[in-house]
Amino acid sequence: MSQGELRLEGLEKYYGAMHALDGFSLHVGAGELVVLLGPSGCGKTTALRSVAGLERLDGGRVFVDDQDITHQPTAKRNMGIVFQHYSLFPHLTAAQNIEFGLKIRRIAAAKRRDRSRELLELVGLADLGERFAHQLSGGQQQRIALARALAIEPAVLLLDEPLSALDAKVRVSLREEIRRVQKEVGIATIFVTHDQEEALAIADRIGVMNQGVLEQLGTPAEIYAAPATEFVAEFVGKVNRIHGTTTREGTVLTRGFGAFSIGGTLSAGSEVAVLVRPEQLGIRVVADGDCRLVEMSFLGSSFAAHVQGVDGSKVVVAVSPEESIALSVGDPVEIFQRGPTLLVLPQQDNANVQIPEYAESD
Amino acid sequence: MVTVTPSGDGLHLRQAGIGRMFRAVVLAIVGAFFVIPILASARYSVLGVHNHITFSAYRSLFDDPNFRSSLWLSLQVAIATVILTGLLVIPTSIWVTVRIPKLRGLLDALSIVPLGVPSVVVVLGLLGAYHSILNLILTSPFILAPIYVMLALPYSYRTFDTAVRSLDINTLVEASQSLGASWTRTLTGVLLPNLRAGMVGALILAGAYALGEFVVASLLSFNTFPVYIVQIGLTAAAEAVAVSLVALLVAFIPLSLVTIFGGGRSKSTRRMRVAG
Repeated sequence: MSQGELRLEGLEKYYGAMHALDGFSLHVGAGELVVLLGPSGCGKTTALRSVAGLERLDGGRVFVDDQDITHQPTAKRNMGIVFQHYSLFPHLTAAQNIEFGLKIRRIAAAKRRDRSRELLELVGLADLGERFAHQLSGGQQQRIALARALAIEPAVLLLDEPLSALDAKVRVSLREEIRRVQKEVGIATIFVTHDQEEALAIADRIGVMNQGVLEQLGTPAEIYAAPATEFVAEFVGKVNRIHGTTTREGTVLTRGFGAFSIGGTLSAGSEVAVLVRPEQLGIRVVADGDCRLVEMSFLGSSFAAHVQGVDGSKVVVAVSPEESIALSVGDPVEIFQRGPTLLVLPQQDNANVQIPEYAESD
Repeated sequence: MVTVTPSGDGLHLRQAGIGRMFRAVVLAIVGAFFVIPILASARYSVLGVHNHITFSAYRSLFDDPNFRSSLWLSLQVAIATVILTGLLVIPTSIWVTVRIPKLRGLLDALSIVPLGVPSVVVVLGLLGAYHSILNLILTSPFILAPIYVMLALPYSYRTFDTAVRSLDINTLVEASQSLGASWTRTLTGVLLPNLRAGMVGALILAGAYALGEFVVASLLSFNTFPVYIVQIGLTAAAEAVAVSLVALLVAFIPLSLVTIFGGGRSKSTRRMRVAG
């Protein structure tokens, strides 16, 4: 019905001294799924909850289809929400849960029943309408919660880490299910998660958040291949950080792993850190190699080769199973570039140690 | 596998048998603990001179107008206590959980204070604090109800609060509101149905406390049922035991009703299981 667009303008929220939202703005187009991605405490859940009216904002405005709803109470906003915690009403059956919002809107019983049957089918649980929450698995409960949220024909669908309580296998299948349903209904959706893989898999666009601000907003491909900031590069996907010095030829001479070519115009002689993904690097065995292969870990479809440079620092190189045959731990090796680096970060002096390492996060 | 299974089953059976026996023994001990004193009292209450069975104790009891008036008074006070407890404890516990969780610790601490303060001190404190302004109210036996609400808080509040804690109230409230429900609708349509067991338990405890409380009523000179029992006990032993048994019956009937009524939800789930 009222599938509209959502516009957030300059949202501000403080929790005491903590600045949870710092001028946060976002536009979600009709039918679009935007994932807000970030570490815990980055403000993503606060942003979602203030769209729902569950948090009172300290500044900024929320619009649905150019209608200012900033000061409307939650009950009047017509937002469908699926929560991180199981939220089905325990005393009602699945079908009654779905009908709850319709009952409040005084919709006739026959119509309610039709609608709940329709939604049960949409989420693939047509047979389970008479079950109570405690008779459903976690994944089934979240599907019913999704159906319940959609039953009221909300203006916007808000998903607050709906999969984080589920185990890994269910998580993957249910996220595809959510995406299918969302596309079928064609509703503007905000999906909050800290799981970058989840974000990359289902988003139309991803907004990476850090400390209350949007670090980068873009398609999953853009976010992964062309991160705008160091934070985005290190939060999404795996990344190596290699220290070195720029040279006159427009390369970086790293301390441990030889020269890297970089696009860009940094003046020669400056200290930099090069950010590069494991799959952007290659490895080969050379008799007089300065680097050493210290560990190989099997990841299923590929291997991660841990290589120690001459300065003692380590990088991770993605190695295909075929390439791995030629490698054994202890080999002298050298690494080379397969593609462009992600980012080159100037390092003023040694005070740069305060930059946190996110390389292992996933 | 084939050889292991039967012996495993045998072990299982033996264990189940031991378990069943253990349960029966425990049940018998607990049952005896409750039933023997009641049976002994019953026997004593109907035993006349030369071990003749006589119901004279009961007859004189029912003929005593003080018996009926004190029982009626206690029932009224208990009902008032239950209503006040319901109005005070239920909204407070829910509201604090949803809106001011910081105050939870304070409320928890406050709710057990009555356990640490002797009833005598409570009564003297109340008299001292309210005597001048509430002189009139203190003459009505209904002043007992608010006092009992307070004294029963450790039981009623705790019981209800445990139910509240076992539910993810915040999420349920937010879900309900996001679906368009007002606060009243959320309370009556979502929270109370799911908190029914805790609510019934809390109110039973408050009512039971009011029915059985002696010290405060006696100090304030109200002739409630427990006060009457003690008075009778001073003069007529058989009647005192008889009156206790009647009191037990009086408490037993509403409790059973409430248990049957309060069990509605589990019954509906059972029906579900059969259907599914």
